[in-house]
Amino acid sequence: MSNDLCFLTIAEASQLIASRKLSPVELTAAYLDRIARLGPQLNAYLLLLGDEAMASARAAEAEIMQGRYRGPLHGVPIALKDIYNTKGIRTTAHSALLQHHVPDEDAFTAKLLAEAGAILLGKTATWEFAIGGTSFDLPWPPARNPWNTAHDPGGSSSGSAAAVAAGLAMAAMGTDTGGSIRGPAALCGIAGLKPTYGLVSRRGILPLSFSLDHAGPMCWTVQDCALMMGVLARHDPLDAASADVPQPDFASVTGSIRGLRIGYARAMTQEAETSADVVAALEQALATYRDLGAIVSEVELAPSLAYADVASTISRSEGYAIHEHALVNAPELYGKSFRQRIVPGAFVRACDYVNAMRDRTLLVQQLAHVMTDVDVVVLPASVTPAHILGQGAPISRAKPSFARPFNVTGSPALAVCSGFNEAGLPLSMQIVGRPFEDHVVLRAGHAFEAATQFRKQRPPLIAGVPAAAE
Amino acid sequence: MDQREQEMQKLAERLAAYGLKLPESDLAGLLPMIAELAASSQALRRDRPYALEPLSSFSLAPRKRA
Repeated sequence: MSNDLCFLTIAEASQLIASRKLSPVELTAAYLDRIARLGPQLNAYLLLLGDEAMASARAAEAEIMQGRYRGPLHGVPIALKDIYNTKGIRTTAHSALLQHHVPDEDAFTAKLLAEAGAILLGKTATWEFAIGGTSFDLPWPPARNPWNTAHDPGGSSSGSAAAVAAGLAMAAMGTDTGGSIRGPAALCGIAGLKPTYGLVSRRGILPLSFSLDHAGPMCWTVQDCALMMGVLARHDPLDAASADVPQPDFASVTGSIRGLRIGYARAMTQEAETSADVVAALEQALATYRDLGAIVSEVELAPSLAYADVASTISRSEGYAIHEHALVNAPELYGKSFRQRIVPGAFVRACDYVNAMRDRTLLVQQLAHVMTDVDVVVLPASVTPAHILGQGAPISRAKPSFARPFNVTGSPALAVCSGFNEAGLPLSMQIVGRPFEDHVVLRAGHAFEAATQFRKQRPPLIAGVPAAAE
Repeated sequence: MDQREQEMQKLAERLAAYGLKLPESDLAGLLPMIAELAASSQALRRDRPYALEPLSSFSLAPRKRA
């Protein structure tokens, strides 16, 4: 029975909790039990908050029994990527540099989730400071992919994706500077939304690149992402990028997509030598969309290399600026992969950074022009399914990413499971929308999930089986 | 000293100029990463019509407070 509880969606659990048919205490205990049994296979959590979670669950239950139900996240067990500051709770960025760091304030989003009644189960594994790659020289091991523990869950929100896919959290928060929500969501077969830049505050989240960082939800279903966004999308005057705009209509995501105009970015898909199974699943998804009454056409985006040059120049410059002091004074407290990825930023000239920002504006304008003819753009979320743990090549000019373009443009972008390959590994597509039309993106994702069977399949984890050898 | 060793020594000196003293084992992996980023920066260097400006700007426009 406890496993069944851990496979409920937020939409399902919240109805049961609201009607007092499911106790947050019972639900939280089921998750903690499952984490105790299966957690060692996945290394998804860096810190488990069992006692605190049970105390929060008891408080939630008492409130609900008194008729003070707060909404769809009340009593729902979640996890936070360990770059979200949590008051009085260790927040490490998966780095020796912050191994004993205990913030005195919650991230804005962590506070919103707590106020909504969500139960914090723990802090999840990440690539070091959200960029270091899958590393074996850090104080904690890297997370593993629950569909096959010899494989990589992607990153940087690796533990969040692994935890949600494995039923070790009902939802988790990730961050996305160049695909760090959508990549792991794709490789772990879950839904992950990078919201429009400015829709969700980044205050209190350890930064990587101020102008490319996004915070967003990772859930088993798209509908659950919408429920999370209903809490997360709030203006924060203390995040300079936070937009003071009306909240998108997240309640509309279960509506029809008849007449929705979908643009398939075929040229960009082909440009990246995408694996055949990813392309086949995407084209099948487009057929599903046609069956649902959507209008599918093809669109041409700027070459992915144009986005890559802008994204790399900006992210490495901003990232190096953030870490320079510690890199000069205590480089040994970072992992090797982190150092190799961030130190090149030291050599970017100021005028190159400015040029990147100028081209960024042009790329935003170009995409806006394309999106006058379509409501969403669809392309793969990942070039390939999950690779063997630690053997993924870093993104390079020769190996483009489907995710980074939409960090450059700030567009809402969603990864949705589009099937499984012969090895049983998830495949994923990406749905991109116009700024602040996150609800349209989510509606398209939800319609696909509702029309297909891929949400019925969970990773075949067996308790007691140790993690695959490194 | 062969060419590879010379490249490593030159990189160590460039890093030192920025106050960076990294483990020697980092250097071989760093070289291609630096070259990759330099290629990105190089690709961004071209003439741009002045009429396109300002494409990147600082703003003090009032923001509504929540």
